[in-house]
Amino acid sequence: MLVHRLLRAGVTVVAAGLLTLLLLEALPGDPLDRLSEPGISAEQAERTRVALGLDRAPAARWAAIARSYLAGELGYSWTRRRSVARAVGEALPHSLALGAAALTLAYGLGLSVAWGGLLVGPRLRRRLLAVLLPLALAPGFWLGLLAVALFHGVLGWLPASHAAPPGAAGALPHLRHLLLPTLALALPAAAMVARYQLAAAAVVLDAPGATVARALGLGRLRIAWRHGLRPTLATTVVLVGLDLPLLVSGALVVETVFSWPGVGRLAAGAVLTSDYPLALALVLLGAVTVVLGNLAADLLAAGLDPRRRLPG
Amino acid sequence: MLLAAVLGCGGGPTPPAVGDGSSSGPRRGGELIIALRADVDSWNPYTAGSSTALNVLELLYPRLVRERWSPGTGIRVEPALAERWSFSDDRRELRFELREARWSDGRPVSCADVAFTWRAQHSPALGWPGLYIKDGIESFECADERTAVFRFAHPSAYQVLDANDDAQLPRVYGAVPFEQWMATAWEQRLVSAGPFRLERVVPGQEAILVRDPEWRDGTRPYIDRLIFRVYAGADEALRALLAGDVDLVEKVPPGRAAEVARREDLALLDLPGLSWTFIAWNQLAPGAYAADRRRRGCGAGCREDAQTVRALLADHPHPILGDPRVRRALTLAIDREDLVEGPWRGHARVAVSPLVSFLGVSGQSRPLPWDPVRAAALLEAAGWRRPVEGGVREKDGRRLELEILVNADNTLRREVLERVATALAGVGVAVRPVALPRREYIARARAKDFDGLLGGWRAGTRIEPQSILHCAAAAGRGNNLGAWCDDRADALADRAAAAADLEHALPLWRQWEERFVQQQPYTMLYEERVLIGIHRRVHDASPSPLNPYAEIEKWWVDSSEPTGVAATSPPR
Repeated sequence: MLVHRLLRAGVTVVAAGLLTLLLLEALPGDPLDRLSEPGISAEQAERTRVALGLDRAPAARWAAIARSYLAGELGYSWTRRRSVARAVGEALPHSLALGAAALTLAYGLGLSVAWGGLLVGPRLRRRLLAVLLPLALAPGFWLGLLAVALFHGVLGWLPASHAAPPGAAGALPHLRHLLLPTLALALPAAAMVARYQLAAAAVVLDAPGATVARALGLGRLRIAWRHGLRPTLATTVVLVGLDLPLLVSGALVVETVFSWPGVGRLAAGAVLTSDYPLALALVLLGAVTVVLGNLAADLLAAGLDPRRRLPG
Repeated sequence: MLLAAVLGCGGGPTPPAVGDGSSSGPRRGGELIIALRADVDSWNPYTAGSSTALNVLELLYPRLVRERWSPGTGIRVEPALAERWSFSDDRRELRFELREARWSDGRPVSCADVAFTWRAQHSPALGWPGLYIKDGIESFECADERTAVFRFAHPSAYQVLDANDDAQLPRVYGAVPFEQWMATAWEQRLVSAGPFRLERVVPGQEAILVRDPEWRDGTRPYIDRLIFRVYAGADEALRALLAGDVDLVEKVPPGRAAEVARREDLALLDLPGLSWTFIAWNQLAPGAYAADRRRRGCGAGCREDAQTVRALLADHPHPILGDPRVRRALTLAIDREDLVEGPWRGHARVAVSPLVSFLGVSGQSRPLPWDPVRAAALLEAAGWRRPVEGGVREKDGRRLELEILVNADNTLRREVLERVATALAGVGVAVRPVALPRREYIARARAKDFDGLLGGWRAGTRIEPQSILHCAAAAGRGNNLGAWCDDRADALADRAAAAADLEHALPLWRQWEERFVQQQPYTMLYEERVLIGIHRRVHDASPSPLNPYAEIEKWWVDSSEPTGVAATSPPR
């Protein structure tokens, strides 16, 4: 069964790659327009076209890309003027750091709030759900700007943008730079997780079974964990799996607000400038992460909830 | 480069120097933080593509001479790597005497480096796009180690500039075959001979340049470190300036210039600019050019000349815009002062022709005034009449409707186009503004598939409108987007370009300008001013429209007024 899933995953990734190439190919205009001087002569344009492989038919170009991928080469980024592997390698650690911090905070905080919400009565729980709603719907960039205004503009505690430079000594500078974009990314997600978890668990807790459990003398904490949180945890694990691509795909809006040098900005730039090799590599990277995230989530959910186990 | 496209991008004079430095003389030391809107895409000027990169690279790679702008005198050429230069009697030979200088690897700069640069410029494998600048130069040779000699086919107005373009490279770069230059990480092997050296690059974040103690007399530059910090957009960069995180931001959006001007610790420099915005009116029926190329089976490299375009113009003229009276009426109907005062908040000026005022060559021509009454009369004379009061004009059953393209990523231009549409509606012209993604916008511009196209160009320091408005530039990859082919204008441009010196060229260019104003192939909207926000702790700063870091070796900073808390650089 797992082999079957992996095979399907492989097909999905290849299909994503082909679709990306098709869409980039379908864009109107000549990629050379974005890569060269407007005054470039026809001869020079032709030389550049040949150098970039744009003189070949799409099928031949795609075959060349496939061959280079099989040989472990991701190609050359026309706009970044470096190998794709190097361009991605420079941005990926920043996205990984931001994504990991944001996911940890979002789920840590979200589950904690949900856990706390289960310990209070239904009325207070409903109020909590109502309070969480606007936070869950707040755009990350807006929260980011507020955080910058407060922590950078008013208090002067934290830097407003960029990652710490590689030479920065110790973990503190890195953490200081990471904090505001992490908050901007994680707070709405934490509110969403808390609402989702709390609402799902509340259904169970408000059911007659929980009343029976209370009548049997089980403590509030135990009921909340056993009957409220634990059965709905599998759903949260699926959510984590779906959010995993954030680690490598970056978060364009928050990266832009904080001038964070991550994969999101890199990918947007690659698509806007028709940098086929870079765009393709980033889409494939995202596709692989989505597929693996889903697979991991399914496996974990099945481990937590036997009803989710696949037959066979 | 002569005319750089700002097709897809997105105004009274103010003394440009910041700080008077009168309280005390220039001080050594400190650092200057400059906001960039993009990474330097390559650390070799012959493989770099963006103007951002080229501005920074000017600080690392020397040129033979330097073009310097000042408010009083305009542009003048000053010695740089070359201490002096001289012409032969027949003005066909130009000799540059190089000063004593060293590359950052310790090797002396010599004529062999100039010869290597010449080879790089002509390398087919490199395909330097600026090679056409060298068309008039027959040969190059080193007379001795310190004397570079350029031989020209005939004298012309821009010989010194033609020889000077572009930056000089160290001959050690020859260790990398030209075929591999595009893929080379030059920051890892950079050899410079400018006032600064490259210390390090953090992609997506910052690049740090440090003072080169070996440069020229050893006293300048005064500033120890330049930190170029990359911001994701104009708003992010401006926010950093307002927060005190950076010292200098170029291209302050006009709508936010007042925020900078209000601040006591900041100065807003308002400089004349080389960029101008226009609406190009298509002389060909939209789509006719692309259809003809398809019919002839033209691929990307199809050969064409002016005759191809002239034949097309004869067979498929634009049914509305082929008439110069209509084009003139369109210009008269647009209140361009409103565009300057509205979206541009006064940081622009109404333009006359592509001979931008910065070049200081405009003759008697003045911008056509805003005169809707005259515009209406011209349209009537051209046969476009209003069937009902306040309606869209018609002629032979055809409505006077125009589709004008604009690039969607430029909000300022979109606002301008909305105002243009409103103004033209007042004289019975229906405008359909179409905002397109940049790539599609450029594709349709190149295919001449539009009625009007709102765009921008940035002029160089040479006068050469023929690169965008000569019939020869209407074919192939040329930049005569609207295919304006006017024999009289072309003849004037050809004579002016061939003139032996500027004195003889200028009267011809002025005649060309008169013809342009009369024919209105473009509605010239406005010349954009360059807005630079700079911290007042920076003294003797004199950014120029040519380069925001012009003469940065003379700038100095007052270190007692540090920038904000967000410095990302590690302690030194």
